[in-house]
Amino acid sequence: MNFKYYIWVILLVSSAVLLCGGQTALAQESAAAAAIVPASGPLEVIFFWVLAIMIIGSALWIALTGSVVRMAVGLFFSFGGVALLFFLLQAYFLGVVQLIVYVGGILVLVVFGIMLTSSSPHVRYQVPRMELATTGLVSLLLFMVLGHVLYHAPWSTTGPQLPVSMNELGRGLLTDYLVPFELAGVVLLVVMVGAAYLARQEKR
Amino acid sequence: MINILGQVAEGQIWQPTLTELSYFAPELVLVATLLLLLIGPLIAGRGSGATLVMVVVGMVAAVVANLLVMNQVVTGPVSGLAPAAGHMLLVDNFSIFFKFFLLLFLLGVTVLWMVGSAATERNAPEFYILLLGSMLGMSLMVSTMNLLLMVMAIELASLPSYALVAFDKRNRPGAEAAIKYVIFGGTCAAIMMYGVSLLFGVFGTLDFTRIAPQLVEIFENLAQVPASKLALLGLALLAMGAGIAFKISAVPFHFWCPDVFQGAKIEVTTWLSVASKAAGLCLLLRLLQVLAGSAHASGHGFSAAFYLQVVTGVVAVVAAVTCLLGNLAAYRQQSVKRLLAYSSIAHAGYMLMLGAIVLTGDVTQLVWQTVVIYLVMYLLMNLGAFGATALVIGQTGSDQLENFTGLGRRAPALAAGLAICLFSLVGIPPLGGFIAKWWLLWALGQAAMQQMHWWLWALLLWASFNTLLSLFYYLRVIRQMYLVNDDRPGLKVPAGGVVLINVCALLLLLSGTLLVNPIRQKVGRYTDHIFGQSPASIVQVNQPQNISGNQLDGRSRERIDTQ
Amino acid sequence: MYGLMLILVVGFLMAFVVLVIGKLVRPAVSHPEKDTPYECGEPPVGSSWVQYDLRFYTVALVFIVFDVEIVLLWPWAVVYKEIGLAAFWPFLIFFLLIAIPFIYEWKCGYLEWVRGSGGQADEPPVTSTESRRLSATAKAMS
Repeated sequence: MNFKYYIWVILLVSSAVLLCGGQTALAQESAAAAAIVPASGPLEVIFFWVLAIMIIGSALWIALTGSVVRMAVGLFFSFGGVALLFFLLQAYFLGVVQLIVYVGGILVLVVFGIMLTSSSPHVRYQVPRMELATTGLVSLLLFMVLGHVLYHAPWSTTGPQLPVSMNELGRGLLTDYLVPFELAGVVLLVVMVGAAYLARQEKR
Repeated sequence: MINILGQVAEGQIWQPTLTELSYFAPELVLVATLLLLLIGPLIAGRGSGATLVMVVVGMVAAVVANLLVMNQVVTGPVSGLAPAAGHMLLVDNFSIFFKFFLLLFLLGVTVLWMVGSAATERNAPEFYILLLGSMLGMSLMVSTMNLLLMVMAIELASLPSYALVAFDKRNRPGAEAAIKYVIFGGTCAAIMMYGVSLLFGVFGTLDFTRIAPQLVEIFENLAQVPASKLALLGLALLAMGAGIAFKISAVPFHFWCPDVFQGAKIEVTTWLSVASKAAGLCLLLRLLQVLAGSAHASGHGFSAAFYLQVVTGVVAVVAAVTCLLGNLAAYRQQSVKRLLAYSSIAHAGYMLMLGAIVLTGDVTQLVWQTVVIYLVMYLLMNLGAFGATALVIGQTGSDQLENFTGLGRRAPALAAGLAICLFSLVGIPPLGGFIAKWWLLWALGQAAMQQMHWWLWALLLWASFNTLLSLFYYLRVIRQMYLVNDDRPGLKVPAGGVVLINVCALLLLLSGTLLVNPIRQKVGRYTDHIFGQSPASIVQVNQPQNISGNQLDGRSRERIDTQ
Repeated sequence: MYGLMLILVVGFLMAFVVLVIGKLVRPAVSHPEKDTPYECGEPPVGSSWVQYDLRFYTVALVFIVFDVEIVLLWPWAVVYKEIGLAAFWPFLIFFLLIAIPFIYEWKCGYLEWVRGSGGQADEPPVTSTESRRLSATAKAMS
């Protein structure tokens, strides 16, 4: 029996625990959740489950599959699932950002990155067992800590109310968050120059 | 504190006024220089001379703008460019100092570049764009109290640095170093963003001046606060600390430092070794200062004092371990770049010790003065040491210690300058480095006297002990230069580089002897009225009312009215 | 939410049912010809994994940058009409911050498609006249 499957089992069990945690969190703290998720009926819960399985499953696939191309496909489902999760939480703008930037942009870049190197579609990643064990253990530990803390977390209710309309967002970008907005332009400028410089081929 | 936040009538949209914008003229000038560097080469060509002219024009303009702003903010911090989100951008005497500091350092790196690479390198515009971009990010890091802008500033400082490390594309170790840097930096940035988002989840605001009083309140009533909230807060603060520690290269996050420093072009190494760490450190100090200010303002009791001590205790432990590790690891190094990388880790540790005492109410002024002096001295020492290494690399092709053999005979002026810088890095008495260390130890001692905490005395002893430790590996280089001799030919080093190194050495010598008193008198200029220092400037978040478009942050506004 | 759910479920079922019916109805005759990829009737040559030109990568990076710009400009566009000029200037600055590097890349020839020998040509950034000449020769060659 391959050692890899033990890790699979461990991670699957732990993600099942996470799912149960999320499920009970939705059920138990419905009062608190109502402030964040305005309508959390049974359909939303089902939808959440489906999405959670999709996101975690594809994320596990990315981590455990050996082929880079398959990792990219896993990334697609993971990103897409997160976008849908944003929609579920009525953060529509974030959902759209996730779709446009991550699914539409970053993923394309990743696929390009794979296709640009001649051998990488055929490369199989063989992670040493010891590494797999230690990383699996560390991830599990991190997951348990995060899951425990976030599950019990008393979130502030003084933040913005969802759903934030596009109008409010636009006003926010032009008033309070004008500086970060413009700074994003500067970051994009610098990144564009740096990336183009690095991607350029020099005379040898 | 001066309030230049725009007052807006009901129904109107806020617009930044020219006065408000004028306070941030240095940053705007930097952005304009970036654009100039993009457009200019298309017209004037990509030669290194034309680029240099543009950079110098931008630097002079930034210095002038900074001087003009300096005269306006003497009496107190100014914040603005956001009607309701709090301290989006702030200017105070320290941030003005920091901009001067970065500009001075940029000048030094420019000289290094002109001496070392300008003749062979054809990509000067890109180099300066990336350098200026990261400089803008660093200057924003120390002039914001908004966590969103803070994260963005860190990103702006980091992203060009990654590209800069890989700047020399023929150099394979450089590419490897850049990959390590990107992966490590990206992970740390992600962790930090996670922490910031958790803080936002807990407090519902991104303005740290509003978060800090609530943090103090939580510390004060720790027994009543539910454990779940504490765990969340601990996680958030830890994650934020990870991001900052990465920039400082404090101990659990220092792995990138030696590899990156060794792989990168030496100009880039010099830049990262001082500017990036200084920005991270000052950011941390600012956050702690605001925390201290709000603790002071609320007249906190025993409990809050105790838990604030715990926070500084963590910083102190990290500082102590960073020091020791940097100094111990430097011993085995054969590559001088790597040796200096570990030395910079150790110095980051020394400076981080200031973070451990900034919460002590009465010595904050002293701490900021120490930061100013230490940073300037550190800049000079590192510029000199890395500059000399750059010249040796330029002549011999590698930075191995054996290439320094007999440098005292082969290039006497260079060796003398380097020796002074190295002695200064140790902190030998009549030099600038000693003055910096002296201020540091003095500040630690003062804090220890105030608080009567044994661990502060221990920290002081630890710093002295580490200084002693560091003596030997710096001496290794000096010994190689002067005491080991073989018949290697003399080096023809470029005069500009030797001048740069000796100017640094001379300044170090002067600041350790003749200029001690002038420095002591001048340093207060940049450390008076620091944001968050006086309690009043913390609580008095002047908020204009009736602003359309602040619904994003509207809920936390009620707190202000109680003032 | 229910509408979205309905669309998802129905969409999934449609594809699923059609495929299942196809699987049940069609005869299962396997043939090596059937497993080869279809290339307009020509027998396929070599692997379908080919190395892309590195130049595509620059274009993809520029694409991402504009992607992000569009995302940030969307909320801006929604409020533009009611705010007016106060929204115009921030946008103009933001636009310039991205347009100018774009012009720079364009002029420096990062976005040129065909230059020299396929993807392996290594060129330093060329002046605009030189790049125009190069693209002219490239056109003449093709």
